[in-house]
Amino acid sequence: MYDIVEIVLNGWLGLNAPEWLLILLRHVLVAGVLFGVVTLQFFFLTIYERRAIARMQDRVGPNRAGPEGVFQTVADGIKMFTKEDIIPDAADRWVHLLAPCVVVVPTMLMFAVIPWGPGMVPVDMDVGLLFFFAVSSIAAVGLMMAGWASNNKFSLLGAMRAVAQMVSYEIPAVLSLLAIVMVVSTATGSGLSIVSIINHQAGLIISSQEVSSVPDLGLGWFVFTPVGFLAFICFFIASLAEAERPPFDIPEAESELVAGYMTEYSGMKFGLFYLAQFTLSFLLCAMTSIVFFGGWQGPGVSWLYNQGVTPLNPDGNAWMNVAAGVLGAFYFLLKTYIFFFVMVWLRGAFPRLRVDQLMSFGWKFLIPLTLVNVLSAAIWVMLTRWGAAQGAGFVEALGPANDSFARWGLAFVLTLAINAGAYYLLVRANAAPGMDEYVRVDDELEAVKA
Amino acid sequence: MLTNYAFIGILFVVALSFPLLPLIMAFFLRPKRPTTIKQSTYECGLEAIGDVHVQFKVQYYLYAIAFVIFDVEVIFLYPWAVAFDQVGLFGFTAAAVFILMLFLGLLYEWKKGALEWI
Repeated sequence: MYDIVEIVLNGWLGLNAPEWLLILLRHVLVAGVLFGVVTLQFFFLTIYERRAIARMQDRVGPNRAGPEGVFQTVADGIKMFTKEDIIPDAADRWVHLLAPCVVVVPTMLMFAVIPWGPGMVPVDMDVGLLFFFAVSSIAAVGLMMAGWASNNKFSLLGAMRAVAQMVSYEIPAVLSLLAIVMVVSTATGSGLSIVSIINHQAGLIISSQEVSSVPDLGLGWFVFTPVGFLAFICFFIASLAEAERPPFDIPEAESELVAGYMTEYSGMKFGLFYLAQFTLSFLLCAMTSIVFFGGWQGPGVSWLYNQGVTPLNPDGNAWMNVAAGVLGAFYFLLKTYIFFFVMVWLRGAFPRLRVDQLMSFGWKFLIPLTLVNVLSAAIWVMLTRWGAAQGAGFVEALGPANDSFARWGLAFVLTLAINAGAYYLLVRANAAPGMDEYVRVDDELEAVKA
Repeated sequence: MLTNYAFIGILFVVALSFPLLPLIMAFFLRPKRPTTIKQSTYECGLEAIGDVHVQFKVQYYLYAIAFVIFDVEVIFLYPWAVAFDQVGLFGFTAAAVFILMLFLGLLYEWKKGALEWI
């Protein structure tokens, strides 16, 4: 599959191309395919969101261009291409032009480390997770450039808010993944590689003993551990804010700021901001499904993969590898689209937050909660995996509980208690004065009704 | 290993064409009819008064400073998390003290009102 370049150049055309050219052309081919897929995704996601949100708001939504409006995005694209590009006289022309590019390019680069299926990984970097977040934070520079160059009060205010929001919510997002990295890297030695995070979730692992008889139904997914569950909730909320999805779309709150940093943009430049936002939403949904829901894992994938060519089984059927890849990509996209639906659903369900509520939610709730979750993860790893090598007397201190299932259960209960306690304390600490009174009024109303 | 980064480099070049190609295509397709009114700064139909680059709330900068501190903290914690098995109980204690100190710092900021949006 991967050597299609070699077959065409050396076999069909008989060119006898050098090795570096083959590698280069392979990379270019993969990059091209990747961007084709990204474009298709964007076309699908926009129409999907518009139709879904329309249903939630009791409307029909765009349904004229093509059957059920599937070509609406194409029509929008044609409009974007032919719309006049209005640059205000006061704007800084070059920075105004550069800003959408600075936002789009890192979003595209993040696709480099997203695995689609077994064997369908563009790059399995050993620092994949770090790369993902390092690149994602570049977009904030582009937003600030857009706001500053537009020379408009709405734009600048929107950009300031966008950057403040993005940097604030980056910390809980990265911290919640830190807990997962800790669990994976103690088990496999490379917790920052996204493929090893997925592989670690393949079977149910109880205190380093793999329970191999468990069917491929996702019992090993991180969302089913107390640490992973809290990390999942925090990460998903933080990624809503990172992608500026409602209810966190304060930078472009149309009732306050017209369109935020996009106010002075029109035509294709506006379209590029729109593209970057949707692609970022997709990427963060994909990351959620990879890290917490096993990515490509699903019934049948590992069976198909083991039938194919693997290091253990060099003369397997290569078509089985392809089948495993396609099935894995299907499960991965299914999970990702479910999360994208949740994003749309949240947009339909919640009103927009105020800017002060947004900031205090990030700093006073999510960051302390994720910090506690990191300690929980440390306790989880200590209780489930540590032996005499890590601390003298550690195993003896456990006493009669030194049994793999007992240690696993102890870790489960303890981390659940710590996380639930931290959640309760933070809710109390963040409670608005007089919240208890409201609760009491509600209780009285219920009593009157009953 | 090195080819991984080579792929990132190629992806970067291809990704550059992703915004540039539509912009260049749109440059040839779109009409260009600028007028003074059209090119004026948008302000809900009113004329814009005063300079854009005004003073901003100090809260933005306080959040930025807090972000720098916490971002560095996260970068320090990642190697610890990856090598958690090797550093043992001593490493855990050291990291716990580190996290606790930053937590106290966050608490101090909170009580001082640096995280309030006034």
